[in-house]
Amino acid sequence: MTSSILDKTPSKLLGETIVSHLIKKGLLDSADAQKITPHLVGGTLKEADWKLVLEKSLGMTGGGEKSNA
Amino acid sequence: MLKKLEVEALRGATKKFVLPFEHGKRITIVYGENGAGKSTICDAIEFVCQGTISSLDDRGLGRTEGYWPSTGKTQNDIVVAIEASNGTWVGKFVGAKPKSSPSTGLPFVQVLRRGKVLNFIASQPKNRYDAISPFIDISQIELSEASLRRLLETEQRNRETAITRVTENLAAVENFWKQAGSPGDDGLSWAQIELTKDVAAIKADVAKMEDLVRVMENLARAKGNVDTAAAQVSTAQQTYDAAHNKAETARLSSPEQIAEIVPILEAAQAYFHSHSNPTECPLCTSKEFAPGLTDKVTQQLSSVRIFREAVEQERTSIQSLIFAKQSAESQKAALLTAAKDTAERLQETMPSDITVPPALLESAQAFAATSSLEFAERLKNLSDTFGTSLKTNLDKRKESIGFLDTLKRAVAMHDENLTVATDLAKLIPRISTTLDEVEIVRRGFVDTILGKISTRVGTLYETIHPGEGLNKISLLLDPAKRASLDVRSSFPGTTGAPPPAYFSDSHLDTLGLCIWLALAEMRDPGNTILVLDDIVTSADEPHVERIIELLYEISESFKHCVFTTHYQAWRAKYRWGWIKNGECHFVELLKWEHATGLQLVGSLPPIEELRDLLGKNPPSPQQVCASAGVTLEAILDFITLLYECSVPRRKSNPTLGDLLPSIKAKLRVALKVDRQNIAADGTTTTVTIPLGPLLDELERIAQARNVFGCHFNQIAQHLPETDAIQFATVTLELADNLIDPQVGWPRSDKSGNDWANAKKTRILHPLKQPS
Repeated sequence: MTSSILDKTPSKLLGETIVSHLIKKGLLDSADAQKITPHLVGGTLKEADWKLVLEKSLGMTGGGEKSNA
Repeated sequence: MLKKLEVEALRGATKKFVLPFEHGKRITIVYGENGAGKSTICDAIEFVCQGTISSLDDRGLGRTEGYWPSTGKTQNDIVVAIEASNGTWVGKFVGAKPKSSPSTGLPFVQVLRRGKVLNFIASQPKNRYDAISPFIDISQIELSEASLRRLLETEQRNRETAITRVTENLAAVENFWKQAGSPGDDGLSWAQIELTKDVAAIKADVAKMEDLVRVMENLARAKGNVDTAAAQVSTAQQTYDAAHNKAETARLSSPEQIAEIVPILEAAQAYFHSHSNPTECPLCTSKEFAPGLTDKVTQQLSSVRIFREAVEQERTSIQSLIFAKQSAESQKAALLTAAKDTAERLQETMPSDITVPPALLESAQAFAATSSLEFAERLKNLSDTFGTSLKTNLDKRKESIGFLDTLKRAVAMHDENLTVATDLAKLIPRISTTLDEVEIVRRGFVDTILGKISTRVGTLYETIHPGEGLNKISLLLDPAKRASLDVRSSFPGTTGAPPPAYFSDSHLDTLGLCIWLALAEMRDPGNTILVLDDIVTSADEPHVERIIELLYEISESFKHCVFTTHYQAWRAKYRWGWIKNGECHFVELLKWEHATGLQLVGSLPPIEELRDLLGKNPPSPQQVCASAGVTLEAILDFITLLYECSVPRRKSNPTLGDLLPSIKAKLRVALKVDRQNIAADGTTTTVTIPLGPLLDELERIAQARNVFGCHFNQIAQHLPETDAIQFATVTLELADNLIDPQVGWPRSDKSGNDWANAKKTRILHPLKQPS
């Protein structure tokens, strides 16, 4: 055990893992990965953001509240 | 690796203290009695690298910066410089805060002090979490995850609301449907048909009907105005007639020239106002009529005023009559206009369900043809009844429009809420699945890290306590509590037990150490200076050797390790080369005094001391024999224990006389060392050296040790001093063959064939004493 696991913060490491996992599972559009990751990692991904990207992944027209993503 | 540490005016460093780190040695062991200043060295490294000093924490001092300077010094006097292979950094106070320059590239420091070892296990779960949080703090992700969870809850509520609204909207539509007599199959189908009705056409009819009602109302109003005007003319005529009669009467009773004498009378009245009681007429100067002249003038003026008022009334009344007649004509014209508007509207096309009474229509046509007042009035009279029925019809139409609007809204809301409910029925499972997946990944992430740490802790712990079965360490986050870490372990007969419940203090100590080391290893060890301040004590005696070996092993990961100790056994093991000294730099501190501060003292291992004594010219027989005797006893003690030779050990420590004879002939013949030699160019050669002849020679001249090295003895005068030098020389040769000062003694039988040191630079044969 000679290498550090802290090259990235735990949140960044986990955030990237979650996004790639959701894309792999078809729950997230890969085009949204770059936009969503910083907000997911920074704790600023709001309900409206989640709704927008999940609606997009379902092919539904996202709208309504203003979102970060 | 570190090259040098310079400390000035910090804690125990009352004088400038310099600690040069030995080149190529990753481990520095600082030995010193309690109070020698070991912690000051740790403080200095922490100060320059992190701007903190943790040794004073938890002592009830509050802010401790005021105690960082040496006594008699100030914060501004503190200077700590650390030189490493990749740069030099200097720490000082700048204002009230410590700053290091340059501020970048500083090595990271992990300092573990004795008090913290046990605390890690015994402290609150929250404190343990704080220690481990740099590796598992995913609070930001949890915030985003909470948003997703809230979204799920919100949308579930929204869907329930939408479904409720759909039911309500449907009930409203069905209510309308029932009011309409429940035509068709169901309310919604009926409503859809109803909404196809041309509301615009209805609205256009309404507009047309409203216009007709408006002109008919204008007509009625105009007729009323004409009647009123006629009555006003009649009244004005009567007023005028009366005024005219009165004026005519006044004219007859007044002189003809009344109009001409009025100014004369008014002038006389003005004159008499300032000349009252005249004695003669101011015109004819007659005195005859002078008395009562003033009253007569006044009387005549009064008669004139009555006349004038009658004339004025006649004049105004005729004006009123003229105005009334003009107004009556104007109203008649308005009536004709209103009648014209009405007649035109009545002749236009009406909504299909509206029928204009024929008489009314004829009247309209007649008016249109004549534009006479008579037909206008007739038109008005006939339109009254029709107007009432028209208004009723109009109200029904308006009501119909309102109903359709309400029905439209109800159906639109129903459709809208149905769409929302349908969309959410699709979205909610996606949110739920996403949340499940995020939770799975998040839990897996934390479990993996905790698992890695737990496994590493278990491995480290097993190294110190091999075979005790206490290495099943679990680090668990309490899901019911925020930022809370539990430590659990298996213990014979139970699992998942908190270690403090079953472990001895010694075991808890090493467990705390292992957790701390495992965490330190995970945090950029290549750029970390690992500082252990006096964490090994005599309390750890049963496992101290393994702890030290463990520290040596893990040190390979770190940039540099500084271990301080007051534990004499560690010093002895280093001095005798019983541990891997090759990577280790050992320094000793003298007892601290305020006047001198921290002081290093030279410390030679016994074998090097013997070599040093033998190198002197001439060597002292007494000194070399004394030194060689101790070294030889250490070697023989090692060999006899290794081969389980029969040595009397009960009463006291065995001496040379006990140890040498216990190595029997068969073993002596078999004892050989494969010694690895490294040439200057790095090439290695191995030679096999039999130890038997060396032991035989030492036994032959063993008395030299006591004769020269231990006691005053007259025999010494009869023994050649060459025996003393030979005793020391052969002992050193035996030591050099058996012990590699960099790697240590051949004490490992892992190969199953022989005894070897860590790097196999010395391999001792045989494995067992020959039978």
